[in-house]
Amino acid sequence: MTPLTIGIALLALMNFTLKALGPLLLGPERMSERTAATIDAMGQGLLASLVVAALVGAAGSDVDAALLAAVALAMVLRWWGLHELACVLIAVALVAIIRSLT
Amino acid sequence: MWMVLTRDTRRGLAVGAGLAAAAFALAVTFGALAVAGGLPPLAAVIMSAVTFSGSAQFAFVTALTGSGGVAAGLGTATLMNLRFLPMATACAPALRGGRVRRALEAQLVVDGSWAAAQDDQGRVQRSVLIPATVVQWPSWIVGTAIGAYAAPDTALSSSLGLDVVFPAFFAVLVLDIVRRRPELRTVVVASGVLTLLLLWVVPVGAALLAGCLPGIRTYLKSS
Repeated sequence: MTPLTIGIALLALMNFTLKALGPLLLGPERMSERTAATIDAMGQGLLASLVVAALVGAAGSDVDAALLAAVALAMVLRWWGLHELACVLIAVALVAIIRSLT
Repeated sequence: MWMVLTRDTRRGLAVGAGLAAAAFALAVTFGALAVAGGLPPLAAVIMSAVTFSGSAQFAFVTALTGSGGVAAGLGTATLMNLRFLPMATACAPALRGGRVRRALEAQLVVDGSWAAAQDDQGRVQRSVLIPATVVQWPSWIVGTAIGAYAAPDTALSSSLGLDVVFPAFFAVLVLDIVRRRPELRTVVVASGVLTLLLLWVVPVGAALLAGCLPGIRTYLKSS
């Protein structure tokens, strides 16, 4: 067993444990309304955090203007009622066009 | 066959197919980067098969090849993936069976599927979550294999604009949430702002995890 093999195995185990822990502890039991509402709110906050992290990245990394513009366009299109997948595809096209021009 | 599937399952498959295309391009990039960084191609493919987490895998390989070693790689990847703890816990009521089966089903929680599976009330729909992941997983493995063995230009997905798929998809879902559930607007905005500020001073994984904190306000408010 090389250190790399052990590292990959531990990475998989860590990933498995993080995903399994909550369902393993909770099982089929229902959460209280209050706990469920809190976990729901934490999840929605996490979703917003994912957007910010994907757009801004780590400290010191450059913010990609093409990504920002495309995500903004996707949100405007969604606001107008376009299907979510169509919004994403148009965002992809916009980024590809911007990058081909710059 | 398509007509036999439930509406939610068809939605999960459709969303999963869109995400799978982006995941495929990302996986090709990962495979190429991992091999360029010194990982054997087979190790990269196995990692994708057993971990199936882009952020953790990129973090692991970056730390590993950046002379940080296996321990640093594991630490970084763990920090990146801590978000799966609240995400999978939020899914727990929607999963089926006893504790072990639920723990196994929770392995299908990945960012895109989890986000797509949220209904208007913030509950996770198992019928969307599972098909959305089942479509993405093979594309992640095949993409890694192509990247690892064929080693194409890692800038390909960027030039095609595929790196916008996940942020755009998440942003659209966030917009839907704040429109349909005004009571969550404060939490969503606070989480976004907190993450934005923290990204300047802490690693991405920690900033992401901190994004959960404003949600605790819900618990405190209802006390």
